[in-house]
Amino acid sequence: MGLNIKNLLNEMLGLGNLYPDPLTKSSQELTNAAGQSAPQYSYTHEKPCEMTQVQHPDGRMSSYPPPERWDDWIEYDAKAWPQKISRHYSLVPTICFNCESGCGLLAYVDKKTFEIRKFEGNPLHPGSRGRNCAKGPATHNQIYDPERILYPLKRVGKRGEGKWRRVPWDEVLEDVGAQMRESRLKRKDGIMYHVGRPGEDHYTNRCIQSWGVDGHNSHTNICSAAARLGYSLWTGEDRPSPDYANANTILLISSHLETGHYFNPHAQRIIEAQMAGAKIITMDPRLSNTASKSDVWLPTWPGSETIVLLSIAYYLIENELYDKEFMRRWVNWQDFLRHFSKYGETCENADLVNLKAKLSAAKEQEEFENFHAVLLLLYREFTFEKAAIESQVPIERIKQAAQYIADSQGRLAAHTWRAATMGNLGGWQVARALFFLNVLTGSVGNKGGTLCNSWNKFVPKAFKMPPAVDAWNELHLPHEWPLAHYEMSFLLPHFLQEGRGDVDVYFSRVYNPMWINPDGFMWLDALKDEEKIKLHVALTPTWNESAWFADYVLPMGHAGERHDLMSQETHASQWIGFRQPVRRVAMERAGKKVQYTYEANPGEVWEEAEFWVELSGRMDMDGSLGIRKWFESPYRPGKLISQDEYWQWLFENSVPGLPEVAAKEGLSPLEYMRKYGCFEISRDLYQPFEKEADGEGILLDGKSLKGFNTPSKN
Amino acid sequence: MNYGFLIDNRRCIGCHACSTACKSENQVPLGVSRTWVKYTEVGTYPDVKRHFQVTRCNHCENPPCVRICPVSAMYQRQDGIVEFDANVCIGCKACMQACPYDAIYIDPETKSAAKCHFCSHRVEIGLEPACVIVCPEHAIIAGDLDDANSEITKVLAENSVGVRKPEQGTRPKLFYINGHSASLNAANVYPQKHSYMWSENKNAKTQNFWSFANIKNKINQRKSYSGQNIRSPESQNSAESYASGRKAEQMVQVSYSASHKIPWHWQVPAYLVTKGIAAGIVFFLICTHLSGWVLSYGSDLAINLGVSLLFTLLTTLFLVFDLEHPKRFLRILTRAQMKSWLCRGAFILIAFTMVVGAWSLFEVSNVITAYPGYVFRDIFSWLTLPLAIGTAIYTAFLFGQAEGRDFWQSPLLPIRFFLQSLLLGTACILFLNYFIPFSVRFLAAATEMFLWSALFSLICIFLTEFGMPLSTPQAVKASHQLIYGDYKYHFWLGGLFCGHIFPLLFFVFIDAKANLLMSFMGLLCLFGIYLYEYAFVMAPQKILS
Repeated sequence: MGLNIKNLLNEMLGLGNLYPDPLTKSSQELTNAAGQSAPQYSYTHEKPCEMTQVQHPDGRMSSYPPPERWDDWIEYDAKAWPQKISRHYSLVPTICFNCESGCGLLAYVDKKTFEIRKFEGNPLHPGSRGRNCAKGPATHNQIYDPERILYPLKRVGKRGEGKWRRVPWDEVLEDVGAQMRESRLKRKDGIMYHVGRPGEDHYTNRCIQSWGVDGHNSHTNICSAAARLGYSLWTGEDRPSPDYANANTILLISSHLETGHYFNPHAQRIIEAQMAGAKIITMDPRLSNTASKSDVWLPTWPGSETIVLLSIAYYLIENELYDKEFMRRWVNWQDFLRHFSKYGETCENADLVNLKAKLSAAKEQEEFENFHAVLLLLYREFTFEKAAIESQVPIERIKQAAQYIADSQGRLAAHTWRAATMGNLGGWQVARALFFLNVLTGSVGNKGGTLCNSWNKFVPKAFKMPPAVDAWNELHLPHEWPLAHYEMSFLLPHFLQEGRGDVDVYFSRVYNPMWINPDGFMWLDALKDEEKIKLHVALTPTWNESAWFADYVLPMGHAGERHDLMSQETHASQWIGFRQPVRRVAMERAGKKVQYTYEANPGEVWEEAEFWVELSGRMDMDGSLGIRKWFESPYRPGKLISQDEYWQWLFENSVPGLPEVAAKEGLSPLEYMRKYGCFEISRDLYQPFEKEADGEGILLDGKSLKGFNTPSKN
Repeated sequence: MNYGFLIDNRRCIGCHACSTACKSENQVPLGVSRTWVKYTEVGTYPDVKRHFQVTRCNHCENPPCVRICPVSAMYQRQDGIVEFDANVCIGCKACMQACPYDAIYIDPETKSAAKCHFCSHRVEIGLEPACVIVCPEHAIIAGDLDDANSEITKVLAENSVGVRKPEQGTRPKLFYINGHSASLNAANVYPQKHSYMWSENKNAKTQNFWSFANIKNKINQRKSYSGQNIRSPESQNSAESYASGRKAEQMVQVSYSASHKIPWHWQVPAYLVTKGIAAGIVFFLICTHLSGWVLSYGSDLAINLGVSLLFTLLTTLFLVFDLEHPKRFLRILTRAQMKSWLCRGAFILIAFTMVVGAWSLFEVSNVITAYPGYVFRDIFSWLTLPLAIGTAIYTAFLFGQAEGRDFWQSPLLPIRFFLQSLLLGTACILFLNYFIPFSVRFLAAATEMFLWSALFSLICIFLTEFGMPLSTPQAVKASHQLIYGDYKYHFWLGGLFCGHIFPLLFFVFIDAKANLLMSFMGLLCLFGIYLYEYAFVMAPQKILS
């Protein structure tokens, strides 16, 4: 040490080598330092491969390293630049977990320290196509957040006192497993898993089903339940999948270009369509970014969305601008006319009274023109003038929107989800009225129209499925709300206070009920009450208000620290995306053995997928509860299933086409998914209801067709 | 090879993915940004739109930051990318003044200047910049403008594009499709707000500095020949393209931006004052000697040369300690980039110091040996004259290189600095009279010189600030800040009244003798000039680009 005259002179005069020695600045050791110190990256003497040979014909540079080099990628360090310091990475694909879109990410994992340098997009992902929103690259911040929880914590003092003890995972499994067992021995409604964002498809539902309890609670009733109801009433599917990319007219209720499900994949396709000439109409009381990018912004007074939609519907009906053929084929108008002839409300309107009388003849009920006549009379009160007054939107804009919708030529991609539907009493009618426009324009399931989510989503079956649960948890769906669409989750603390029941083991996950529900103090009371909620296990990577009142705070991984499989209806195709613990995968690529993901993650951060298996094993050590068998490996009888085995079976047996594609590359299906992180199962899935039925179906114009999942199907 | 960006505002949805990806790729610390999305809202509800503009280094073909950088820490690569090297930078922040786009910041970790560098570490291995690949909308295109076949060249050819502030002569290579004039140039927008949607505006202090003009308009209300009340024209170039008042409130507002901290503070005006004193004293001594106006006593000369040296030393200290890397100050000489007036100035200052030092040694030996070497005095005088003038005025040319501060780019600035230097030098002599017994004739000459230089300096300030109309909205806004806004007291009370008018009146009407009052007048003038220079340095830095 001491003063180095040569260095000082160099610093002052700047004549010698000004760059620091790359070796002194970097670690060459395996590190696991997230949250404790800044990540260190190792130095390599090798030079990066220049990508000039794979330039695009139009002179563009390459966007991503080619997949064949993903395990052996060298890049210059950006921070040291213009000093040329090479870093050696293993690129591991995963999917984002900062919303439900499941966009592809590519983690750059240092080959020696196994620290993650950054997250870029995964160019092979069919939904996100290599691009991301701001939340994707920000995953790195979450992983190296100095305030994240790195070890399992057990409450020491009273609930909410804020005193914690670090405990080993084994102790957690032992204690929680025992309490679950005790509860399950007594009853089938004592364990509750309360989730906000699942971030996966069905893995956890299967676990709960395996436990034989009615234990799934959600946040949906303060979120999308109303929109789901509106959509369900039309098609039996509770979620839309607008084919934005091919639309002529895009109708958005609220800011789907910036905050919607599914932000980045949808935003790409909305603007793609607009660039190709599509018109965007947005109803949003705020000047959102979406409103700003729209061709027609309708700043509707909150709650007036439905009447604006109905005035547009009336415009289409009145001017006969709707798709009569689609309506004739796919709307059960004969049922409607029969019903109307008997029970129809006429409001003492002479025209309607006459029409009703006319319809009492069975022959008249088979005339589509009569249906048109009824619609005309039923909707005539919804004029542009009335809509403009209620919505406080300039009438010209509503007319312009109606014109664009009329001009959509059956390519109307429309979307509503939470804002207007959940923010207003009777908001489910917003979704219902919106889909009415899809039906009127014949934009249902066709190219450029609005599809149903189940057609564009693929959830592979696991190796062994437990039977449906024969139990009913009154704390989820109490009997006095028989029509409740999704659990009455926001009333849970009220139910507990009323003495309707208690919870033995309460898991909260990606869910902060104290913060997200309207009455946080009720939740505070409930969470503090050890008689009502006997054990609260918070599964979370970071602190939140509700976790403060937990008995266990268990750190679970971010996007690059866990196994999940997701599929989302981002466009008219089906894909699966594989979330992976990227450090673990990189270590395994390097030949290191990892038994549990928390050995590879920062600190002892674990993942739910593995945790549930181990926990269920502890809950039923001897198999006497009949639970253990659902978690036993299909390859190693009697042993608990590993993540490799779970996904190996699923990819080999449940994903059509994947084994063949993998075999072409000389890979097993699991190896393929670990390497590429995603797989497209099928694309351009339009109008499946028009396909011939193979079993249950609907008879239409003399043909048996698949139809929709509605009661009309027989 | 000539890399450039094209940003398609038709596609941009303002999602900030580029800002985040850049942060992640380049490990940019908290609080500073290499690229950000500026939001500008135009219109009145419900006829209003938000316009997005991805804002960053323009990789100018003629980059003023490169020209002003004294050590080539900021440089232009052969492929047209404007690059920086944190290991070379001395932290003088001149590049931040030279950039008309507020693209440069001081990295809080390295203490060096940094900005978007086109991800040259990626481009060099054939990969697109991080912002390009993350963008959900392919709204950012990066490519070779020399390649007729490249995507960027083709899209450029097919669309009408705009650049930010082409009048600065920087030839930006960041092109916008559908650029909105309110976003392209922040000076077009009124008012500048304290805080944005999710960020603070580090520089702006909201003040209605147009109110004075409004009152003036009211007073000047005139009628046309036919009897109509008519509007008097506003002063030239004074209105933003989108003015308030006439139109509905908040017709145009910047609702989100990321501004960088003001680079220069009190050290710079302090340096202007000390440097002015050093050069002014010497120039006055030369005048008195060469013209034979005063037969200078050796002691007067020796003492004043010593004082000048002292202020040169102070000047150097202000300069060095204003650097973010004070240890690296010698690199100005060892790694000199001679197009930079910082370098040229440094060499002038050094030459000045050496000659004045030698001269003062000579005068000290004169005093000791009582040998009046007039011939040597002549030689020293002629040798020092250009250096004294150079020292007084070179900063005007440095300010002239500050392409981001149009207000400083005044053709009268060298003259103003020269006159002010004389004023400062003589004011300092007057101040010292109470402490040092100068000869009566010497003091009288200094008083006379002080009066004349005060008068001409005052005229020069009036000509600069109230004479010719300024050429850009930025300059006009800065001028308004100076005269009517945040700095009006600095300007009127400090610069004009204390710095010029009061001492001028005092010496005209009161027959001053060597006394404390004279000292006080000298000090008052120095203080006033400091306040004026402070305002002059700060005002344009507060105007958003």
